[in-house]
Amino acid sequence: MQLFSSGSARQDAEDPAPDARPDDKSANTDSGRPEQASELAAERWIALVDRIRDHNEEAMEELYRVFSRGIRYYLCRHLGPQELEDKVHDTFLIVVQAIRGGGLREPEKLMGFVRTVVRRQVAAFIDTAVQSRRDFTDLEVGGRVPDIRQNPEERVLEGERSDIMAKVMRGISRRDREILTRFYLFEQTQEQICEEMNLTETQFRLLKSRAKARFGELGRRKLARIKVRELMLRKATGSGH
Amino acid sequence: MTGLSWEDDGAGESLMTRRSVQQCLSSKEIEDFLFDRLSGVTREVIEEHLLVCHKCLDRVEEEEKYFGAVRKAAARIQQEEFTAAVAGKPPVPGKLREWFGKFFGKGPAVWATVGLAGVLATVVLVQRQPGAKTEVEVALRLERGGAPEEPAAAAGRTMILTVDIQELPDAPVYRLDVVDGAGRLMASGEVAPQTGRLRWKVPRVLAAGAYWVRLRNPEEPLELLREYGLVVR
Repeated sequence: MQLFSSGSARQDAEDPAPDARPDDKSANTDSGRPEQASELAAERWIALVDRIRDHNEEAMEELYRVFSRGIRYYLCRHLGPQELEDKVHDTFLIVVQAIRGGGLREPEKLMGFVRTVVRRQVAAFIDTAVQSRRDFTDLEVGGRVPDIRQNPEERVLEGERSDIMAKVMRGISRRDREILTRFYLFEQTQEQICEEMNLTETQFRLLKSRAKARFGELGRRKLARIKVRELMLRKATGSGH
Repeated sequence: MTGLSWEDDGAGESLMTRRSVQQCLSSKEIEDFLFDRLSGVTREVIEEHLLVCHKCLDRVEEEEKYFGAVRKAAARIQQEEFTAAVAGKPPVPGKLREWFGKFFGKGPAVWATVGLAGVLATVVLVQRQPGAKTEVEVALRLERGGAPEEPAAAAGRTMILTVDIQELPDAPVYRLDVVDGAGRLMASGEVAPQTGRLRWKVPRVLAAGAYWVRLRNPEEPLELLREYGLVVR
């Protein structure tokens, strides 16, 4: 079970992350010249599209490896987890068929093309869902709502995370709690909160960072306790080495 | 096609301000992305970047989990405070209550003090509820043909829903239920129609999310007259 990535909560939420390289190794941003990075990426996409058009299986694998995770995230965010794998595969097939059928006229813009396909897939799925609901409204009593629940393990993890955060929030002042509630629950902007609650930007950022750091700290302690318990359980049952 | 929020293509942004698709996301951009505050070319570029950059995707997913945890915790605490205030219990931690009892005993004085604190807490809670300073009226419409644009309302504000019921069977009152995406009942009420419309002040401030508003005749509770989608942002 993993509640948090190690060290992620320690990062100051307000400092820009160090220039992490994208997974695309050829688009090396170390050069510090975005034009060069763009050119390298464009060359990579052109080469990939050419290989896909040649029905190169490794190119298909590379396309899937690079894009499937982003596509999955996008579809899940807009449509939920239901039938996600099918939707990802459908989208992937559409992209490949479009590439092979000449639908991608500018191979260097492969990323934008994939994004457009994914957006249209989301719209199409929503259209289908709305039409289905209309067709079945008169027959079903009570209507239907999509089941957006996660699997049981994810629900447990989510519950544990919110328990830890509730502990953090109960341990801070009412005012600080209100600030976090406004920002995360009511989605008010930083500017609005600072103006209405007479805060500086620095105070606001500091509060967010402290809360996040405390969250990470409690999470790590909980994980450590769980590991110790598991270890003791293994020793007690004699299953440990 | 649905009226999706990303259909604008950023006509207001120029090439000079265009963000590079190769550039990884800053913390602020991740926040804006998760709060759906991005639009135009910036949104396009960031979404393209997230299609291929697994490191940024890791960061976004991690932040999303954190956001979810804070939201759930904040909603839970809000509910607890509201329930405690309505029940007349003072919203103080357990240790403080012990300290109170230790110094003031358990006689009428402490109950009067606690009761007063409860009243004060109730008054303060109601008046200082963040974001509920103004009301927002949302008209629920029935769209025929094509995909409807779900009405959107602002999170953290008291909502007044209005519904046109001219095509529905007459009834002295109608019942309105608000359920969330998981089917949990969030608010419920009965409203008498006035000039062919229902006007209902939702008795609860809703957090951001997708909801369904269900309309029924209370005398026939099993029959759903209409169901409207409602997005709160």
